[in-house]
Parts: sequence; C-alpha cells; structure tokens
Amino acid sequence: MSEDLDEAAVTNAISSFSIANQQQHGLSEQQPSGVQLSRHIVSRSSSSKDITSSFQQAAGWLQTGELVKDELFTLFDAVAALEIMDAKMDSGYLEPGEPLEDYYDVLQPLLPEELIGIMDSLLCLQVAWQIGYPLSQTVFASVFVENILWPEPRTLKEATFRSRGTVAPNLSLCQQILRVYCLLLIKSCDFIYRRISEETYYEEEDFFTQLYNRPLLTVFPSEQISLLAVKLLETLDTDTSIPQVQREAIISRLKVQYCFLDAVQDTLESILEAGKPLWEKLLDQLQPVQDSHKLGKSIPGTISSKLQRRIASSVPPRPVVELSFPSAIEFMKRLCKNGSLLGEITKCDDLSALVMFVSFFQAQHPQPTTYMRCQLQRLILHKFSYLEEPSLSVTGRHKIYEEVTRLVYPDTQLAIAAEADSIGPVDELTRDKQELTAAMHRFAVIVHKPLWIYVRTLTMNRSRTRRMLCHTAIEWDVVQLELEDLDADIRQYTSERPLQEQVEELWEYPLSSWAYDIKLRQLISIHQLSVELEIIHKEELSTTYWTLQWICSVRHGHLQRIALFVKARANKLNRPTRVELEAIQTTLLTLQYHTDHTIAIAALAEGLAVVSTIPRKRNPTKPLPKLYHTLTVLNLLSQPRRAPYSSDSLRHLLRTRPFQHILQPSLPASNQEKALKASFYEDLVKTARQIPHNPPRQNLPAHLKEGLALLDHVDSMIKTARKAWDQVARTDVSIARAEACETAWRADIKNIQKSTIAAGLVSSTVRKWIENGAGEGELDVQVEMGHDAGLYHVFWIVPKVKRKA
Amino acid sequence: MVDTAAGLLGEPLETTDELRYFKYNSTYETIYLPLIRQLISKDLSEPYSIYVYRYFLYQWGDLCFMAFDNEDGLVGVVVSKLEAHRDVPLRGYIAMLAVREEYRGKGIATKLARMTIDAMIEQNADEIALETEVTNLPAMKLYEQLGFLRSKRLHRYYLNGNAAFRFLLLIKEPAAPGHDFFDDDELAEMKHT
Ligand SMILES: CC(C)(COP(=O)(O)OP(=O)(O)OC[C@H]1O[C@@H](n2cnc3c(N)ncnc32)[C@H](O)[C@@H]1OP(=O)(O)O)[C@@H](O)C(=O)NCCC(=O)NCCS
Repeated sequence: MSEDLDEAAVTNAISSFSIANQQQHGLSEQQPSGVQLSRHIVSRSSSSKDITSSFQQAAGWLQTGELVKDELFTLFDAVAALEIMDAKMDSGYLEPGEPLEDYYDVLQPLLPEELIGIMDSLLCLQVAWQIGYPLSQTVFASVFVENILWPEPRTLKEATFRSRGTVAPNLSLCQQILRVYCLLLIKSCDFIYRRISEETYYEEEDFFTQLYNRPLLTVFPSEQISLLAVKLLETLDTDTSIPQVQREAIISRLKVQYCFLDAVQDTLESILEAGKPLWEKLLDQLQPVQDSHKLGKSIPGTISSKLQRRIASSVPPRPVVELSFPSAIEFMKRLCKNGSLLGEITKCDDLSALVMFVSFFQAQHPQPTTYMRCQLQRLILHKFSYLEEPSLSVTGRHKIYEEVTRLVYPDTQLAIAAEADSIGPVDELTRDKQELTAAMHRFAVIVHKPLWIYVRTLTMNRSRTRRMLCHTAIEWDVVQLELEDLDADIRQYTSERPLQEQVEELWEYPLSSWAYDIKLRQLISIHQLSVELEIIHKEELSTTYWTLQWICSVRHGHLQRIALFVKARANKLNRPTRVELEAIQTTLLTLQYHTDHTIAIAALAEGLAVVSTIPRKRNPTKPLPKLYHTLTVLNLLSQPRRAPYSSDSLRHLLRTRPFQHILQPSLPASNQEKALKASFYEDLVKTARQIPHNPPRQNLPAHLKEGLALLDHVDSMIKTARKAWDQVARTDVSIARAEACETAWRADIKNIQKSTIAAGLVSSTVRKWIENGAGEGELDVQVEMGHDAGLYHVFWIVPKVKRKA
Repeated sequence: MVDTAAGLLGEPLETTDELRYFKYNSTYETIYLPLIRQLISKDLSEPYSIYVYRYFLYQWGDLCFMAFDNEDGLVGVVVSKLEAHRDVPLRGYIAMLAVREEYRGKGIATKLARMTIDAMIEQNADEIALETEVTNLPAMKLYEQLGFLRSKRLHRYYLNGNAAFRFLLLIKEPAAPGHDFFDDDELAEMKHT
C-alpha cells in the first residue's frame, strides 16, 4: 500500500538529506573551529597509515567525471552530495565581505509601531510553518524567537531576551509585550507540533517534523504563559504610555495569540464541547488585527535566514518563506472556520454519517491544514474507537451490522445472528444459528480493517486520498470476493431461496452486495477527484465523464438489485413489527437516495461527456474547427490527437491501469469502449434521420441534423440530471446521513445544480447558433474550459462557449 | 573552447538554420558539463551538485541531447535515465529539460524531448515518466502534446511547497494475457512518428 518512492524527487531528497545529516553528524557544532586535529591518530590497538599519495595515484587513473559507485548507489545518494564552494550547497560559503551571521540587538529600544510590525511578521512566519514549511525557514528565522529559545531556558523567567547571554534586567513595556507574544506563539507551535507528530497518520509531504534541537518551551505549562499574557493585558488596559490606537492594535494581537493558544491546547472534551466558542473567539480577534496592520512598521534585520547556520549547520541557509500578511490572516480565518466545524462530528451516529462528514470537511477549498486533519483523525478515533481496535469489540461489530442493515436490510435470520453475536443470544441457539452467528462474526472481522483504512484515506491530503483510493478499491474487491464465499456459505443455514428473474436464478449475496457498493463509491470518488485535481486534461474530460457515467450505471443496476431483494422480503413478512417496518422503510429510502444520487451523477456526466467534445481542437496552428465538424466527429471516433508517441489504446490502458486488478466491475477495454460509443453514435444518426419530419430542421444538411440530435441527447441528459438533483436535494437529511454537515451538503447540491443549468445553457446556445443559419457552416466558436474558466463545482467542468466576433 | 565545443561531437544529428543537435559524449565532460549545469541551474530553485549531473551523464549519457547555436553556445539540453522501476522492466525518466530563455517557443525543447524519447524506445523502454510543477504551463503543454498523461498529483512535492504532476507515457502494452495487441491503425500511427 505504500506510495511510490518518487524516484527523482531530487529536490525532496536534498531536504531529507539535510535532516538526516543534522541528526547524524551535526558537524560544526561538535567540532569547534580552531581546534587542530593531529595529523596521525595513534592508538595501541591500531596503526595508521597516510594513504594520501596512493589515493591520489589511484584517482589519477580515472577520467574526470567517471563515476565510481557500487550497485546500491542511488540517485538519492547522488543528490545528497554537497559541493564545497557553491553558495547554495556549502554552508560555510560566504561572498567576499559577507558576515557569517547577521547581528541584531534584540534589546534595542522598541517603538509601538515597530512592535506591531514585528508581531505581524511573526504571525506570517507562524502561518507559513503551519502551511508546511520547516521551522528553520519560518518561525526559527525570527531573531526574537531564536533569542528566547537559545540557549535553552531552564525556567520561564529565563525565557526572555538576552543580550550576549545575560538576561536583560529590565525590559521596556513594548519589549515585555513582544516577549509574551513570542512565548504564546512558541507555545502554540508546541501544541500543534505535538498534536501532529503524535497523531498516527500524517504524511511526510504534509509537515516537517524537524525541531533542530530547539524544544518549543515544551516543559513550561501553558497556563503560566497565558497568565503572563493576562497580566500584561491588564496593565495595558490602564497604561497610557502607548497611544490609544496603537495600544488597541497591540492588545488585539496579544489576544489573537492568547486565544490561539487556548484553541490549540485542547483536550478532546474541549474540542467537542467548547471547541467552537474558542475558535469563534479567535475569529473575532482577527478582524481588528487585519484592520490595524497599516499601523505597523517593519524593521529590517529581525528576520534572518542566516540563523539557520546555528540550527542546521550542514546545509546552507535557505530563503525565509515570505507569506503576505493578508494571506496569513486569510489562513487564520479559515482555520477558525474549520476548527468550529470539527465539533459537529459528535452528530455522526454511524459510519455512513462519518464518511459523509469527513468527505465534506475535506472538500473545503483550500483543504483544511494538516493540523486540522490530525484533529479530525483524533476525533474519529475518539468517537469511532472500534475502527482501530486490535480485535473488534461487541460495540464495533454492532455498529458494522447496523451499516449493512441500513443498506441491504438482510434476512431476519442474519439480523438475529448479528444480534446474537453483538448483543448476545436471546434464547438458546440452534446449531444453524450458532453457525450463522459465527459467520456474522467473521464478516465483521473481515471488513473491520478495510473500513478503517477507507475512512483514514479520506482524511489525507486530496492528492494522497485519490491515490490511496485506488488501493482501497482493490482491497474492497478482495473483501467482496471473500464475502461472496461467505454469502454462499451461509445459505445452508438460512432458508434463502433464489429469486426467479425470467430464466435466471438470483441469489441475494447480502454481505458482498454491501461491500460492492462501497467499492463502487470509491471508484466514483477517484474519478471525481481526478477532475478536481486537474489530473484529467481538457481533452480527456469527455472520456472521463463517459467512464464516470459507466460506473454510475453499474452502481445504479446494483442498487436496483439490492432493492429487488429488500422489497421481495418485505412483501413476504407477515405481521411485521413496527420496528421491522421502520427499518425496512429506512433501507428503502436509503436505497432511493443513493439511486437518485447515482442517476444524478450519471446523467450530468453523460451530458458533459457529449458537451465537452465541442471544444476539440485539431491543429492549434489553424483556427478552431467549424462547429459542425466537431459535433459530427464528436468524440465517438478515435480522437485525432497530435500525440506522436501515444495512441487511444495506450492512453486508455494508462488511465485504466489502477483498476486493472479489480474484477468487478471490469472497466471496458479500449475496443469495447469504442464499440459502445460507436453504437451510441449509430443510434444518434438513426434519430437524426428521423428529424426531417420536424419542419425547422428539414433543410439542414445531414451533419447539422446529427449535431442537433446530439444536442437533443445532451438536453435529455441534463433534464434527467436536474430532476435527479432536485430529488437528491429533497431527501431527508437523516436519510442522506448529512446531519453533521447539513450546510455543506446543501451548498454542494446547489452548486452542482448550478453546473447542471450551465451545461444546459451551453447546449441551448449552440443549438440556437445552428438553427439560426449556421447552414453555411461558417461558425467559429471560442471555448473556454477548465478550472481557470471559473466553476460552480470542482467535480464538474462545464465549458463556456462564445461565438467568435 | 567556444569554437570547438560542438565540433568535438562530430556530425550533428540534425541541423536547422540556427541550430545543431548532438548527442552528449562523456569523453568531453570537462567541456560540456559546465555548460549544461549553467543552463539548467538558471531555472532551479534548488541546486544539484555535480554528482547529480554525473549520476545521469555517466550512466545514461546516450540519452542526453544538446542543441548548439551557430556561435557554439549551448541553447538546450535534455538529461534522462532508463532502468527498472518496480514491476516495470524499463522505465525511462526525463530528469532535466531546459532551453535558453531567448530561444524558447521555437520547438527546441520538443525536439530534444523527442530525441531522448526515441533513444529510450530504441532501447526498449516500457514507459517514460517525469514530474513538473503544476504551474509550469510550457512544460506541461509540451509533454501533453507528445502524448504524456498526468497520472498523479503529488502534494507539496517540491521544497518551495509547490505540487507536482507525475506524467506518464506508455510505450508498450504490458504483456498481460488476454490483452489485445495494437489495432492496425494504431500500429501505423506509432510507426508514423
Ligand atoms: C519548458 C521549456 C523547456 C520549453 O522549451 P521551448 O523550447 O520553449 O519549448 P517548445 O518550443 O518545444 O514548446 C512546446 C510547447 O509549449 C508551448 N509553450 C512554450 N512556451 C510557453 C509559454 N510560456 N506558455 C505556454 N505555452 C508555452 C509552446 O506553445 C509549444 O506548443 P505549440 O507547439 O502548441 O506551440 C522551457 O520553457 C524551459 O527551459 N523552462 C525552464 C526549465 C523547465 O521548466 N523545464 C521543464 C522541467 S521538466
């Protein structure tokens, strides 16, 4: 399941080297300059020999540039090498006259406007670090932070500004404020750092864990630091030495750090119960800070990349990350928004609701930060602790059975067995029941880990989520197979009889049906994420939407199959209890919701698959093709791409490669897909031939009739999509399992509805052009398509068409 | 040195009005390597040490191609490798591609990329990979026009925090049972190149 070791992550490797290097060697710190090493080391047990000349002689036999390496020498090793006398690689290299370190006296007098400026630049560093840059290029680049953290303070009193090693006797008010501001800031970094690195799952690309031997005030309780802030705030309330406007600006900044520290030092209880107010309080404080930014004055020299020489001496300093103040504030506001959403997770009663919540939490743009995603994982494991249990508990099993019941409402005997397994037997079990109970137990054990991996996958960064889903889909394929065996096995203990569908016998396969649906949803997500992450090129969109439509139609069929069995069973129940009736009702409504949702996606995807063939460009040096050309050629014939090294079938192979090990559904092979599209096209031509009876189109040439038939098809798809999305929107929020994320869920549907309408507009616009005399064929269209062109929803790329003037 | 740099490489592989294209020759490393480094390092935020260049050039010098102008100045270069990668027997990898700023937009990079790809195909490559920053429009366009597809997005792949796309070009259909071979027209399409 591991991701590619990205082979030529040349630049990345440089960074990993620097980390390893500092930890293993820490060269310059252990070896003070000026120490003369003796030329020969002589000990009793060994003797030394100067091999300089033989080495030189041996080296002389080599050509310059000849590489002497063993089999195991990799690109990473090559990248790890440093070059002396290159400013970018040699940490000691200085331009003539350049000092090794910048000197800034942290105790020089500090004006209020300078204090404000420094506070704001510190906030930028603090945010840049949270975005994912190393401490060395962010927070640790501040001379004030460095001054407080090194030498390492033994008491909180020592955590203050020092000039040449000695604690300053008296700090001015502004200096005191700056000190406390720094302490609050560092301590919040401490909490964030520990939260992320203690969390089981974060990804190396998300966060740098290197601390460079500078503990982030870990040993000092945050209450003590907060208390310092409280006292200072009291002083500031009455102090008049700083002019009112500046004083207020300073107070709001202190409060931001104070509230931030409060918000990140959460216990689980505090996120769940009091988390929201904490983040909201912080949000309130950010506005005055933003408004008063102009009062600050920046002072050069307070941020220095050269401080990196002290902490990471083996690599030369890298530039300090420059983040603009507005982006820093934007970031903090988003953090508050995400933070206040998190507690909503308490409303998730089951896995379906959790998956829904996580999906919408993660779909926010930009994506929630690593810290927030860690919090999310932590809450998931708190609320759904059974997911990670080494051996699945009774509660866990019960929760998993609930999931199955909700979707497939299995046979009463299975339900009883599940209950017997999780809650305990109601009466003495017959042998058959014992077997069934054991089977249900086995079922829960089989799906336990895959379920957790699935949920965990959804909490990663978007790119990784997409890649991991390709793996989870394969895993669920295997799960499904295992469960099919189990399903067949348990028939002997239940009284299941197959349904007779014409000549076919249909067996229910309840457990594997449920697993299959999870896998199909993962396949749908993969394709939607590919669009969102722009992995799909414009020219491939049509094919991607076609595939998406295909998967949805498979899922649609699958859901109908499940519904068939549920309904048959419901009809057979005599004197069902109220509880049974309610459960069946819930299952049927759930199936209806999923069916609507699947149809909605399928129809919009099919509409767009056809629409997005419109902008096909054949030869960039020539003007865009005549509209009717594109429409007739459509996507249905092989795409004439200027791609000398590729072919339809190779591209298809590459695109379907992640799914080639999946047995069900087996994506159509390249030629099958072509055949499918060709028959679609034939139908279309047939329809077009019937059009002459329709007066306004009578006189159009054949290819335009075909074009119009195509647009008719688009329109009918869009109509279906609109109806289905309306249906989805009308679903009871509890059936959709969206109680914990209702606002996001509704907004999402709204945006897709807008995309659907926009797609319909494209079709009607083009139709008008054709009908209003494009008979001559002189119709040049300008098409904009893609994320830059503005979208209502990132999953749905609707082209924008304009007639060329 | 300037007036002999290209001369040392013998007959050019291809000549246009203002350019001559050559395959790299490691005999003259001392002459070409500094030129290549200079050209490539201009566009890099992070430096590669000389060992990185040597790592590629020493082992896969035959996949490196250079374009010189009439003054014998190096205007473009491509550096690649070709080796086993997981279950792919031979995966090509385009590590560096750069064209001097004044010469961009004239198809030079495309030509260099094609030379290295052709050389890899000749050596039986199964597929070819590379990465670019998601913001590098010229590079993405270039590779897409050659038939590469984006296969993955890599979050915060570069030290500057930018994400990357991994691009892939399948050269051969993996020999799996049950797979159809190329259609005739597809074979023709490939030979045509
Ligand atoms: C990427 C680079 C090598 C392209 O070199 P080049 O010689 O200009 O490329 P080409 O002339 O072959 O152009 C190839 C395509 O890219 C397009 N292109 C070139 N510059 C472009 C730009 N600034 N914006 C958008 N597209 C551009 C061209 O239009 C051309 O497509 P066309 O055939 O439809 O006209 C060059 O820009 C460069 O050296 N960049 C810095 C190094 C780098 O990024 N290397 C790639 C890392 S893998």
